[in-house]
Amino acid sequence: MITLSVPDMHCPNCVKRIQKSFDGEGLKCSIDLDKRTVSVEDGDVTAAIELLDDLGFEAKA
Amino acid sequence: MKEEIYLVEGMTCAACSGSVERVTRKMDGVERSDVNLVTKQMTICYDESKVTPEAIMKKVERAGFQASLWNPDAAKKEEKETVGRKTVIFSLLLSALLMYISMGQMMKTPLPVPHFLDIHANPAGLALTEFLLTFAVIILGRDFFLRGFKALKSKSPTMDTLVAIGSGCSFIYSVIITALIVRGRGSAHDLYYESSAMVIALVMLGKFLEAGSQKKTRGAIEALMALTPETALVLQDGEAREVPVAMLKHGDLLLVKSGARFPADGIITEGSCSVNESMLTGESLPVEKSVGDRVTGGSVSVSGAVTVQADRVGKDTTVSQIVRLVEEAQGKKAPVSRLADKISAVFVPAVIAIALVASVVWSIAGQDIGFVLRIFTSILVIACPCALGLATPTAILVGTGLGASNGILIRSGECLETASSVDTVVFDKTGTITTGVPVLTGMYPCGDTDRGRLLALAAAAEERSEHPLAKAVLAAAEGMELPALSDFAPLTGLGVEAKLPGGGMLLVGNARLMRERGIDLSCGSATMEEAGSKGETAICVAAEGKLLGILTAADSIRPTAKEAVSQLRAMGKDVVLLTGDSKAAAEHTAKLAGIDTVFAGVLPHQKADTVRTLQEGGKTVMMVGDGVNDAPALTQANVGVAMGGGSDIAVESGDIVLMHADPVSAAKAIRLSKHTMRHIRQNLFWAFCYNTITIPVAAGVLYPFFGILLNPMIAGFCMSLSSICVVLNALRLRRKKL
Repeated sequence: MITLSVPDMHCPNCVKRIQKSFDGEGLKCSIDLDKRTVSVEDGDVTAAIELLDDLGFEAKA
Repeated sequence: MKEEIYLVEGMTCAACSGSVERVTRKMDGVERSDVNLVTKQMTICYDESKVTPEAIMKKVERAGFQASLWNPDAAKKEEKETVGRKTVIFSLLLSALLMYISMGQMMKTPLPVPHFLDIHANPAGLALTEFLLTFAVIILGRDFFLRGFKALKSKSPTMDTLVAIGSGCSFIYSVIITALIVRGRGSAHDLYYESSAMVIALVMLGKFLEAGSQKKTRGAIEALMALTPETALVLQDGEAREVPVAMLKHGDLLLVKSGARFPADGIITEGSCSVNESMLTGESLPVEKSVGDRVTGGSVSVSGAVTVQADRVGKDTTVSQIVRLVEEAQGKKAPVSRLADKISAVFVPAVIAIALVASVVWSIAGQDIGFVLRIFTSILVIACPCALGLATPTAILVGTGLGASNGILIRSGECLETASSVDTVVFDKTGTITTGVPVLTGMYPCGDTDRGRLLALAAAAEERSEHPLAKAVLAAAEGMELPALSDFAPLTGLGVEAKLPGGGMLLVGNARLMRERGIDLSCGSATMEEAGSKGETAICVAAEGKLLGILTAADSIRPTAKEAVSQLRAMGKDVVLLTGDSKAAAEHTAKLAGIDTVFAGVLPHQKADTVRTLQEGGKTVMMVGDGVNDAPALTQANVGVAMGGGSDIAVESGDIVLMHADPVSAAKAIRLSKHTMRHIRQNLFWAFCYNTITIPVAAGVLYPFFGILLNPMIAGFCMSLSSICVVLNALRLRRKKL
């Protein structure tokens, strides 16, 4: 499991958008809004970062 | 490069609009993209060869929002009331009733209530009735709960969360007490139903008023849009037919009756009328217009009917362009608003933390659950940061609207901000400080020549000329009887020659023409020298080989130029005159306008360099020009102000466009910017200040010392009040005189 830092995420709508988009791609993740992190479970990290990029979030491992 | 506006739906907070900005800005070929959360508009500037509208919409969709090309009709539908009037009134009534039956009995002289609600005789009846009333209010305000808890579930609380938790806690606590009362224990004094309901009702009222005020801030633009009439009378085969304005075509002949508004921009082909163009220029005196003159859609024909050939219809009319400009400006964020965005994002979680900490502290201090609950609820409710979110956008909306109604078009929030810090104002001379049209300034006859005869002869010779100087002479001689001349011969670059009724030759032109014809200029040489030093142009008039006299003409200074300069001076700005003209002419004009610093003989492409030099010297420069040859300088300046004469707006070149060819408008623009920025700062200050002061009070900081404690209900009222204050403060701008 790899945790990505997503500093720009700060409202429930952001979380919802990320969750929806990951679900759509069949990627599993857990999102922590307080810590501003998205944890990707045994998935492709590059794909996750790209997905977040499309959503307008900069993600750093 | 192409600029378009899109309607983006599904955004709820600053982070959302930020996301849309980020994804679109990253696209190859997109130069600029600004998203306004309030108006839901994305203003995007892109290279058509690299990006298509479809690609933009797809990109935004991938980010989880919907984008569509913006059109005003769709936007109007959007503006339905967020909170219905009936819902608000109903919840307020219910809450008031609750207040009456619960609090009324606790007063020293209890207010009368029916027996089954008596707090002592029938506490269970009272508790159950209160429960039902509150439940009804909660149903009415269910949106707060739905939105608030949803947000909490996704671990990112919003303002609604604060209200929902606050009201919900009081409600659940009261329900538990109710259960105890029904079983014959507990006291009806511990019920907090009324505060639970009142919070919801008052926050609803706040949202409702807020929505109303926000709508009002858009008023100025809507007033502009309402200027174009719905239908137009189109002349076809000599008959007038009523046609919807949207159907008008380029070249249509439009009949405009006295008192009607012009449906489109065009040229008068028949008749004459007085036109009130105050919507464009702010000038309320009607202007006389006749065949060949340009009229602007939206202005009013005060008296007289005319036929107009339309040449700009629909989206291209001046009014449509103004509306577009203003809306674009409102869609572009001022840098100051980013501060508010950043702060709001950390605010809500912080408040919940404070509320929890305060509750724990008071519990440890030995207070009962009722007290702790009041503290907890009050903090959550009072801290709602909506006032913060509203502070900047409302002020900018009102500011740009106020500008538009004064003939000052602001093209972006950013330049509105910059204009307030300008310390040097550079004016272009021709067309800005001066009218750009020469007028006759003096007549100097030689010997015993009559002044009237001198002017009449010159005018007669120039009658067929289109030269600006000829027009100046003709304007001065208007109404005079002119001698009939014959055999006109225009001499390019020199003047004109014609035969007098008596057969002699008349020469009107410059000194070179006179010298070429061997005419003695000695009587006029002093005049010509003086004219040259003042930057005036001398026109020599000679008949039958003898100089009759000299006429002088000069580009006339705008009547308000001096006033504009002195206003700017009073504001502490340096005023500079920049011109391609000779030093003498420039200094003469500068003296008339009261300007000390002059840069003369500057070629158009050097104007930008001059502005840059000033900037390198640490100045923040506003450049005011007529927008055509000054374009590079306007762009170089921190704020470029394009002065458009009425309908010919030099739209693309300036950050600010003045509809009225009046230098005072430049001073007005600075004042507008100052007012707007001051309102934004006031708004931000009050919003922050309000929260910093009220949160500790709500947390009970004053209680140990003064026994002051906020009731959640009062907190709810204060919270709404802060948003309303911010919006009202912004609306105050509308009444400012510039």
